[in-house]
Amino acid sequence: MQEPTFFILTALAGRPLHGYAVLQAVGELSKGRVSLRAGTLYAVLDRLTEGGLVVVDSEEAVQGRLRRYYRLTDAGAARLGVEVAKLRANAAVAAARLRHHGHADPSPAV
Amino acid sequence: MDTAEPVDASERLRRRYRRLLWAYPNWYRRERGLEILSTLLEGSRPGQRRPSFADALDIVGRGLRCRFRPPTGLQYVFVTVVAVLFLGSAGAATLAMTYAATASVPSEREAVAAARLATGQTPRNPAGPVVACTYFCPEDWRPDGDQVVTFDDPFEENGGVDHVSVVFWTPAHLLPSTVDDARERLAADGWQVDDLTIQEDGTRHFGADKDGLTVQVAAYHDSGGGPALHLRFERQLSDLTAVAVAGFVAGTVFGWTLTVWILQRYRRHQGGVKAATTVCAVPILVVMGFTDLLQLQFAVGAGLSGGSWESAMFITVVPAIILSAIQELAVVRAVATVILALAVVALALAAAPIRAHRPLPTPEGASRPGPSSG
Repeated sequence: MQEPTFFILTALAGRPLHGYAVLQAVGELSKGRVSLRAGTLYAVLDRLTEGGLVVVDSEEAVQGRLRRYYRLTDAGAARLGVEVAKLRANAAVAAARLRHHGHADPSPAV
Repeated sequence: MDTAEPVDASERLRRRYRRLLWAYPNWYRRERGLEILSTLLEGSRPGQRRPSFADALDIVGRGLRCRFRPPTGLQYVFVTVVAVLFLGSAGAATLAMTYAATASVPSEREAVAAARLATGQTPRNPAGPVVACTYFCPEDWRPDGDQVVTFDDPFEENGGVDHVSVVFWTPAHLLPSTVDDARERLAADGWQVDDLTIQEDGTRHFGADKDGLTVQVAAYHDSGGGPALHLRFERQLSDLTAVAVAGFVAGTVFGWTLTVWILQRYRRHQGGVKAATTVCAVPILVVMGFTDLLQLQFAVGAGLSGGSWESAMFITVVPAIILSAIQELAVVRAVATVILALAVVALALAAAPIRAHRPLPTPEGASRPGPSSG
């Protein structure tokens, strides 16, 4: 799973969000490392929606603007869980190798 | 002097974003355009008048990908590859055959003049008829005398480039020296002559060209006929390969655009239309896939056997043979007619209006408040 996809699913794991809120949440969750553009965001959302990992939760139209809220599905949550487990296992393996190599564990990001 | 009312920055920005969104296909803009525009405007800075370069690049890039990319899924990729390879080959064959048909064949007078120069003799027979042959051509020389024949070659045998054949009956013991003399005479006249090739059975041959006219000179000693000196003249279509490649590229681009358009509409269709399109598409894909396999088999075979990768035939011979078969064989013609009819029906089905999955929201419509975005 690519990093933008991971952070979009993570952002939606909290609560349903509309497009701009997802962009903001991804920026915050990645501490500014991942900066999504609108075109990219909707391409990923299309793919996730087609894959059944995300669904449209509700829509809101105000002053000529449309906000569509997206929600993580159970399948999406499961997929994110698998990815978290994989990343955790990868990190554990890398940390163990680093210890074996004589390096201290890198401090966890805060 | 500009007397128009000043347009505020937000409206200018909105218009510019709208223009960028034209990169997306219509159906996508109808479904998503307003939503993307809203997100873009929400993310804009106060007073911003024009989209940032990064945003513009992102929107246009994603829009074009959306427009020209097949839907996600192995089945869609498979269909795209099969159709694009087929239409690319068809484009190459169509353009190359059309081009080859316009090539000027050397006149018999021109060929006889060059043959006289090479041999010092004039053919005893008058000019022969134009011969049209497809798979089985008549012998282009006879043991009872000289001959001059213009051949109307089919594409799959000589790339559609017609040739003139001049044949001299020559006593066997004179053949080697006649070929050697012909090579020297042509070289002396300014022809570019190739090295002389002598095969195990004693056959001698060489090629030469001058001002676009090429000649293959060969000495045969055929057990069924007799010894003969054979000069085969044709005008080289040196850029036939480039034309075929251009046709392949054009066919591929057209095929890709058409296939993606159909697949994107197919994916969005529902129920009966989708099922009917599938029924029409399966036989078409079987025929296309079969043709592609033949094409690949020929290509791999040509590569393994050390065939010329420069030859236009490499990408045109299979479609050319199929076209010939359609013209000559009733069964193949019937199958092609059915496939063509199915393709027309499939196209019509794909172009049919698509029923929306759900009502599309409008800004003026009743809003359904969503959860707080925070």
